[in-house]
Amino acid sequence: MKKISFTLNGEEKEFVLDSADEKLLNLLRRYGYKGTKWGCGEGACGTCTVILNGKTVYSCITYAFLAEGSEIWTIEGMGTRKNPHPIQKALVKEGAVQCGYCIPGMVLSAKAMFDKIPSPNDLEIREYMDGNLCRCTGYEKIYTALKKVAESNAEGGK
Amino acid sequence: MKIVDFVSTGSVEQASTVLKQLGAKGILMAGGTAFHFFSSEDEKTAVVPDDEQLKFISENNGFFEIGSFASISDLREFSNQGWVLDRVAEEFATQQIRNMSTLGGNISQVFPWSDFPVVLLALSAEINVLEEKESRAYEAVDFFRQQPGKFLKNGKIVKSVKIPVLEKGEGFGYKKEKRTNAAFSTLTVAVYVKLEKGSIKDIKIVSGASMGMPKRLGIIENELKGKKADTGMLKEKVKALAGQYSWKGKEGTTKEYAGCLAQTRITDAIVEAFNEAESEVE
Amino acid sequence: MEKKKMNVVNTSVEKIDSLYLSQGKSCYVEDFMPDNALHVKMLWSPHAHARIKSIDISEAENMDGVRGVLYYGNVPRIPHCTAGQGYPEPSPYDTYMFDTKVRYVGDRVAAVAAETEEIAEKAVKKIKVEYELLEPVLSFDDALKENAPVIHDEEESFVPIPIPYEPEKNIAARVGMEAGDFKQGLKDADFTFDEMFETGYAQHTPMEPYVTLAQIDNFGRIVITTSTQVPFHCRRIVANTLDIPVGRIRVIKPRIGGGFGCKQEMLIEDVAAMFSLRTDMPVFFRFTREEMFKTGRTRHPIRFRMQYGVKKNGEITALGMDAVNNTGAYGGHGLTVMSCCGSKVFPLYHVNNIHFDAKAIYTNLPVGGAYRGFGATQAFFAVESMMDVMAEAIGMDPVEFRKINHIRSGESHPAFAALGEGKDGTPMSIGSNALAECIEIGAKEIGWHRRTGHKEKSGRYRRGIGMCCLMQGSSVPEIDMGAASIKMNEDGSFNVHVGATDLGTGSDTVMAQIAAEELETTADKMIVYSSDTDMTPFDVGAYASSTTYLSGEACRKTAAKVKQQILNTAAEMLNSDINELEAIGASVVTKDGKEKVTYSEISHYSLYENNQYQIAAVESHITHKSPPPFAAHYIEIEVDTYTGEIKVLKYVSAVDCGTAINPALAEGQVEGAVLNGISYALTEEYRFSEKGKMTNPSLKTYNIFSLRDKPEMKTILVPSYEDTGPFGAKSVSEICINGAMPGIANALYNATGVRVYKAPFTKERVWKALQEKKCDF
Repeated sequence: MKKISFTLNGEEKEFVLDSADEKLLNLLRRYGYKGTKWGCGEGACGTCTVILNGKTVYSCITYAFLAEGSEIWTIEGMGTRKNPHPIQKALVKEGAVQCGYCIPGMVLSAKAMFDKIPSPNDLEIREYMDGNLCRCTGYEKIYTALKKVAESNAEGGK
Repeated sequence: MKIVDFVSTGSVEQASTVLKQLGAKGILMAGGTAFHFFSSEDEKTAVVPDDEQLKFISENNGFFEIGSFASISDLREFSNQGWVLDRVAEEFATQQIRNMSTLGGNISQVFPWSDFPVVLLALSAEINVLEEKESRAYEAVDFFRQQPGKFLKNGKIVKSVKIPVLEKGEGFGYKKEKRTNAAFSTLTVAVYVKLEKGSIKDIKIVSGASMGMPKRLGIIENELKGKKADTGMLKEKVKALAGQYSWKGKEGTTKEYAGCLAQTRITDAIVEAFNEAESEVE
Repeated sequence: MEKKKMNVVNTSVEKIDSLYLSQGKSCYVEDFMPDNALHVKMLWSPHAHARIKSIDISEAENMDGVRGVLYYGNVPRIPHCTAGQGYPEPSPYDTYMFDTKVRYVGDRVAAVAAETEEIAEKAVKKIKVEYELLEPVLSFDDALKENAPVIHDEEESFVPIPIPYEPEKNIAARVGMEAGDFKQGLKDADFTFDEMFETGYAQHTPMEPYVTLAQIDNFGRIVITTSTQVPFHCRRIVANTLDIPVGRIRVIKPRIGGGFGCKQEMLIEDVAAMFSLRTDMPVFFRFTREEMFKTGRTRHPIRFRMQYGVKKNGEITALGMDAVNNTGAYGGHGLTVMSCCGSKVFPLYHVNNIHFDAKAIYTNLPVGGAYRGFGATQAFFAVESMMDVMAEAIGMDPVEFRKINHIRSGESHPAFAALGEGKDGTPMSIGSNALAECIEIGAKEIGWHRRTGHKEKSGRYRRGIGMCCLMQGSSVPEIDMGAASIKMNEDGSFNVHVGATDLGTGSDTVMAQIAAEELETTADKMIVYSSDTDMTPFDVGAYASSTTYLSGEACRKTAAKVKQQILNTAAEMLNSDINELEAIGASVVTKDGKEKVTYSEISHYSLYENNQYQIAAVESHITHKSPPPFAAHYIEIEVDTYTGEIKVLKYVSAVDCGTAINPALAEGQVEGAVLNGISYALTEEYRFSEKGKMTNPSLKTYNIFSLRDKPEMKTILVPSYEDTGPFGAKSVSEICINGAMPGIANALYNATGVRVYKAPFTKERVWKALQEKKCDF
C-alpha cells in the first residue's frame, strides 16, 4: 500500500495507508492517536477536528492522501499532563468539560482561532467555533473559557 | 464515492493531462473538495495538484480574480473595498467546511443548496476554465446553464473566477435562509444593484435552494429596472411577481411557505443592496 | 440531617477527569478496541411493518472475512425489554434479539460480524430477505382507530408485573389517576378551557454514539465495555436475552460521551456479546449517526388534551389531562414516561380535582425511550402554556398567577401517592422549596417589569417575554437503589467505588466531594471508580435525576461508616473515649485539642501495627421521597413576523436544586439542558416519508445548536436545603430541559398574540400560526 508522510505534532512521520480511500481520522487512530474522535463520520460534529496547515478540518471526511507533505496538529500535540495548553487549562478551570467527547476538537478549533486572532471578539469566537457540536454544556462555559483566554492574550499583547 | 487510487501532480496543467488520460475514472481534488462530478457509487482516481498556485485572490482593473483552489475561509478572511464574498462565506456551513471547501469545488458540481453559483450569477462573474492547455472564459449564465459537472470532463478544470469590484452606487444583497447557522440553505437570494440618481439602473436577482437550481429572476428584474429605488414599490412588485416562479419546499418546509419566504427574502436582499448602493453614494 | 459548615461541598472543585479528557487520553469504549476486533453491521428493516417470509444468509456467511451472521433462525427467542429500569420492569417484554416480524424502519433483521467494517457492510448487502408487507401504523390516529393493524400480534410478549397491556389494541401501557371531583371542579370554575397540544420526536444526539466492545476473558466470561448509563441493568438484560447467568457477564462503563437518556437502554450489547461468545473474539459495534436517529431511542411524541377550570380569583378548580404517547414499535419506557407527565408536573400547582388518563400506543415508527426530562418535558409544554392562557382569561399577570398557586414547603399533592412506576406512587410532602425566590430573582434578571402586552406591539420584528415554572423529581422512591464502597489507604487517600454512572455529568467528582465532606478531608484524596459490575457495588444507574440525591447519599452513608471506623481506631491509638474525639482536616483530634493523629497515621496503624484490619465500608441507599428541584425560567425572544423566525435573545434560569454540591457542574447541567431545550423547541424534528422512514437522519439535517446559535444565557442557582439529601442536595440534571418549549410559546404569545400548540416551533409553523390568527402586519 501507498505511503505518505507529513509532520505530525512537529515531527516528520511516515504512514502506510490502508487504502486510497482511507480518511485521516482512521489513519490517526490506527497509529495510536486516539484523542481524535469519531462522532458522525459525515463532517458535521467536530469531534474529529485536527489542524492541517494551520486550518481546522474534519479528519473523518478528509482523505488521508491529501495530508501528504502537510503539517498536522492533533490533541496529542496540545500540552502535557504537567503543562497543559492554556486553552485546556481554561476549559478545566471554568468547568467546561462534561463528557469531554467534543473537547479535543474544541481545543484544536480554539487553537487555530487564537493562532490567527489572539484576542477574538464575541462574533469571531462564535464563527471559529461553529463546527464543533457539544450536547452537554450548552457551550456557555466553553465560551467563557475561550473569552478568558482571549482576554489574557489581549493583556499579554499590551 | 470511493477513491481507489491517487496521483499527485505539480501544476494544474499536468493535472489536466492526467485527468484526460484517466477519463471518467479521474477526479480532481483540491483542499478537501472534488472538482468533478461524482455519485456515491463511483470509484475514482484522485488527481491532486499542488494547490498553492490557484489559491490567490487578486485585484486588477476593477475586478477581483479568485483562484479556484481558494478556500471559503480564504474568501471570508479577504477584505478589500468593494469585496462582498466575505458576506457569503460567513454564512457557509461551519469553520472546518469553510477551510476544506474551495470556490472551484463549490461551483464545479452544483446542488440546489450551493451558495456560490447563486452569488456568481448575481455578480455576472466570469469563470475561467482550463481547456486543452488554454483558458476559456465563460460568463456565469453560460457556465451555470447546465450542471457544470456535465461539461467539466476531459481534463477541464475551473481555474479562476472574476467578479467586479463594487463601485460607488453599486450594492450587493445576500440572504440565506436556514434552520440553524450551519444548516443547509432552504432559500438563497443574491442581488446586485446599480443605482443612478436614486433609480435602478441595473439589477440582478438570483435565487437558489427552494428555486431548485440557481435561477435569475428576470421578470422581477425587468419590472424594477428604471424605477426609483423605493422600498414600498419594491415590496409591491416582488409580492406581485414572485408567484410567477415555482418555489419548492426544502428541509421539511411546504411549497406554500417557500413562496411566502421567497417574497420576503427577495425583498430583504434587494433592500440590503439598495442600502449599500445608497450609502456608498454619500 | 443537621446542617454543618461545609468545606468541600458547595465549592466548584475541578471536575476530576476534566484535564485528561481535554487532552484526549484514551478513555472511551472505542479507544480500547483491540486491532483484531470483529466489526458488526446490522441489516435494518427497510419497511415499517412486515413479516419476514424468508431469509437467506448463506452468501453473506460464506464471504471471506465474515465470522458470523445472526438472525432469528440461530439465536434464542426470549422476550425482553431493552429499557434499563428497576426489575421486574413496568414495561412489556415485547422485544426479541431477532424476530420474524419487523415493526419499524430500522428494526433488526440480521447482523454480520466480520474482520473489517467494510466486509461487514458488504456482507449485509448479500443477505436476501423476502418480506410480506403489512399495513403500517404511522400516526396517533392510525394506532387508535378500530381494526388498526396489530403491531405486537405475537403470543409470547407479556408484562412481567400486572400493569395494563393491550397489544391487540396497540396499547403498550396505560396509567392515570382521579382526585377530588374533576367534573365538579369544571362546574365550579368561572372559566373553562379545552385545548390540544402536541410534541414531536427528538433524538438525544450525544457526541459519542452507542458503542460497545464485547470480549471473552480467560475464564470464558463475557466482558462488555460499553457506553451505557445502566451497567447493572445492562448486565441483567444481556444475561436474560442470551440465556446465560449474570455471573458470566462483566459490564464495564469507561468514560461515556454523553447519554441524556438514550443510553439507558440495552440496544447493541446483546449482539456484540453473542458474537463474542460464538467466535471467542473481541467484537466491536458502534452505531453510525444514521443509525442513532433511525434505530436509537428518541423522545416520545405526545398528544395532550388539556382541560382546566379556573376561578376569577385565580384558584384552579380542575385539571384534566388526557395524553396519548407514541412509544413507537416497542414499549420500553411507555408507562413510566406517561406516569411522569403527571407525577413530575401536576404537583407544581394547587388543584384538588384532577383527571388524568394516559396511554402509550404502539406505532410502526422509531422507538421512544428515556430522554432527559422524561415526560415532564412534554407535559410542561401543555401545562405551562395553559397557565398563561388561564392567567390572561382572568386578567392576572402570569407571574402573579403562578405565585398564588404554586406548591409550598410542607404541602403534599395527590399525584405523588397516585402515580408510581407500575404501582402506586409514594406519598410525600415537599421539603425544601425556593421556587418563590426563583420566581422573584428570575423576574428581576429578565426585567419582567418592562414587559408589555402584545396589543402594544407592531412592526415586522416583535419582542416578547415569556416565563414558566418547573419541577422534576430526584430519584424513583422505594425502587431505585444506589450503593458505594470506600476503603482507606495508608496515605489517607480513599478508594471510592460507586455503581453511580458518570456519563459526563461529573458525578464522580460529586461523589468525591460528598465523601470528602463526610470524611473531613479533601476531594483530591478520593480515588473514584465508576462503574464496573465486577468491582463496584450495585446502582440502578444514571437516570431519574437520581445520582446526586440517591447515590450521593449512599456515598455519604458509606463515608460516615468509614469515619466511624477511623474514629474507633484513633480512640485505640490515643487511648481515648471516642466521644472525646472529632475528625477534622484529615486528622482525628481530641476535643480539647491537645492530641491528634492524622488519617495517614490511623491507616498505617490499622494496616500494619495493631489489631490490623481494613478500614472500609459498603452502604446502600433507597429513598422514600423524590424531592423536586424547582425552577423559574424567563425568556426574551424576537419574532420575525414575516418569516416566523424566533430568535432567543436572553434565557434566564433560576434554579433551586437544594445544595449545589458543585456549583460549576450544577450550572453546566442547567446550561446544557437549556440549550438542548431551545433547539428541541425550535429546530429539532424528525421528518418522515409516507412509508414511515425518517428522512433527515444526519447531523446536517437534524439541526442541533452550535455555539454560534447559542443565545445569552444566565443561570442563577438559588439555594435551599433538602433535609433528606446528602448535605441538602437534590437533583438538577433534568429539570431545565423542560422550560424552553412553554417559555418560548408564552413569549411568542406576548410578542404577537399568537399561540402555538404544536412543537417544534419551526419558522413555518410559527408563520402559519401568524397567518391564521391574522397577526396584524
